[in-house]
Amino acid sequence: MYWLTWRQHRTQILMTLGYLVVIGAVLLVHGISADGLTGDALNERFVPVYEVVSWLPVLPVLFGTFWGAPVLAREFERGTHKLMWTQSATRWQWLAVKLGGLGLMVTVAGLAFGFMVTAWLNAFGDSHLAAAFGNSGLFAISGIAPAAWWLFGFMLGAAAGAMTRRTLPAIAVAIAVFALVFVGAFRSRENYGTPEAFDPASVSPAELQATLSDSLIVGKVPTGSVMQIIPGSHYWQFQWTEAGLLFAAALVLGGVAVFGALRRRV
Amino acid sequence: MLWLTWRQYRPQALVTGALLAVLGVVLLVNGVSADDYSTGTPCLGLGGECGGAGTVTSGRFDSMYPFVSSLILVPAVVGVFWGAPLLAKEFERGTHKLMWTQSVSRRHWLTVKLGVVGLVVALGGLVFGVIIEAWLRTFPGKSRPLDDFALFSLVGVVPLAWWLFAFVLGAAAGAVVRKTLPAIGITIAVSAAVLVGLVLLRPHYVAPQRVELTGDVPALQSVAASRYILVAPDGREYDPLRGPAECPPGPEQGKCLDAAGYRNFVEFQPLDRFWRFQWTEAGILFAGTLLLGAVAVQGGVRRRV
Repeated sequence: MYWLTWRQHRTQILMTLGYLVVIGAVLLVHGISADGLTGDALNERFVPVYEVVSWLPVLPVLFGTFWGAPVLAREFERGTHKLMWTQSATRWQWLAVKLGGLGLMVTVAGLAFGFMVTAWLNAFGDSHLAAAFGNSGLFAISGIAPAAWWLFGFMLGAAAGAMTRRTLPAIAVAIAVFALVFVGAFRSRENYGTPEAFDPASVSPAELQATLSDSLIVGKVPTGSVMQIIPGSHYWQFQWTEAGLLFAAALVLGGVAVFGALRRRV
Repeated sequence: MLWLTWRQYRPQALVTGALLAVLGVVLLVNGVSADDYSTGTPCLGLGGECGGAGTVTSGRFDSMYPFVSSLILVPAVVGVFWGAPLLAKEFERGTHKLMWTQSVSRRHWLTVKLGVVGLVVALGGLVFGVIIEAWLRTFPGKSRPLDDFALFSLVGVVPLAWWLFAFVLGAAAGAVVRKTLPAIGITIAVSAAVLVGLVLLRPHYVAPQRVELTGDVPALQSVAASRYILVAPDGREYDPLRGPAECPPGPEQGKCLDAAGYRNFVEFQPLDRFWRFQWTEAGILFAGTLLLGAVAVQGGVRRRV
């Protein structure tokens, strides 16, 4: 059972491992090279890699496409489930190993990725550009959020595959739903907590810069008035809220996948 | 033959058409409601400090911009759903054995599939570009985005070239690996690499124009990718922010530089080069398309049925 799952998905597993190694090496070298830099030089060093890294929040859609969508849909499409599910291992066991085992791998990989990005951002801690809270892209790839996003992408693809029973439509459904959730999550994030009033005139310009780059600014405000911000100390609360929502969604989608797979007799 | 091609591509055609319609309506609504152009302020309460040209920016434009700029990922999706299954699905399911042993020759089949479907894809890319351009036109000064790496790929002829390139890339990947899922993976990876490569290559299509700054600074609003350079009397170039060692940064730097005979230059791309850049990028992509088209045809015909 484990061997077959590994054999069927080893391309994806090895690709993901390779990706983690490459991105980890890039971030490590880049982070080390930031040692001792300050001010404009630090920002200048940060930007080139940041421009590439800022696209990585869309990565979970690839877990839906390559990990999730084929996991059930390809079996149905090729009829291989008929052989597989009529052996001594029950369907439940198969689903538990495939969804649970692969889901666990995706989550662990996402955690490792989030850890690497956080460590990289810490190396650029003095730069106001490397603030993981105010920047919605960096928020989604630092801390524990990527683990939740990656698992969500995987379960979304698996559920789509269980319902459509064909790989290509499953991929299409996964991409479409992911795009909607992605936009929705980015827009609703500021509602995870209650903003505080902050008067920009009450602090020195240096403090103002530090506070603003560290916090999440809610909405747009007319020049010179009191702002609504969420201070950077709420970062982990927001991380857990986002992760919780996505893990719950992943659980529901996992249920859909199991139900979709068991619905029909072999 | 045409009927079968239509029958196989019906879902893609309908979904693409519907999504283009949705995009058009969303951007139309956004563009029409952009009358309150100058009400949004992006300065977020920093007092009068942020100033400059960025102060008055459309709130409407800003609210839409992140989503529109992420549309540069669309060509990869076109490659995944239009290109990758074209040959790979036939090989995977063995349907090519029936199809290619009828009265119509293999080359004929491939020409019709690649040609006709490619034409539809190109048309889709063209419509996409026109929609984005019409939206940009409602925001003054943004309709020729030479300085924005994302918007540049979304207007003019570049989207057409990109869609076609991604489609043929998917078809070639499918012809070579003969399985849909790996073909999709290759399509996404190569698209991403080409996208990054083109964005990095873009500033070098044409050498930037260099103008000396003497006394009155020329108006630089209508330029892209400007860069200031300090040229020493012996021809060496410096970044003005750092300056040469003999004149360290500080309040006295300006006087020191003037005394030593340094001259200030600015390098930029004039905005009237927009179409030159567009055609250069489209040309690169068209060349790639032809090459990959040959790979797809070769891969499709190579093996005996």
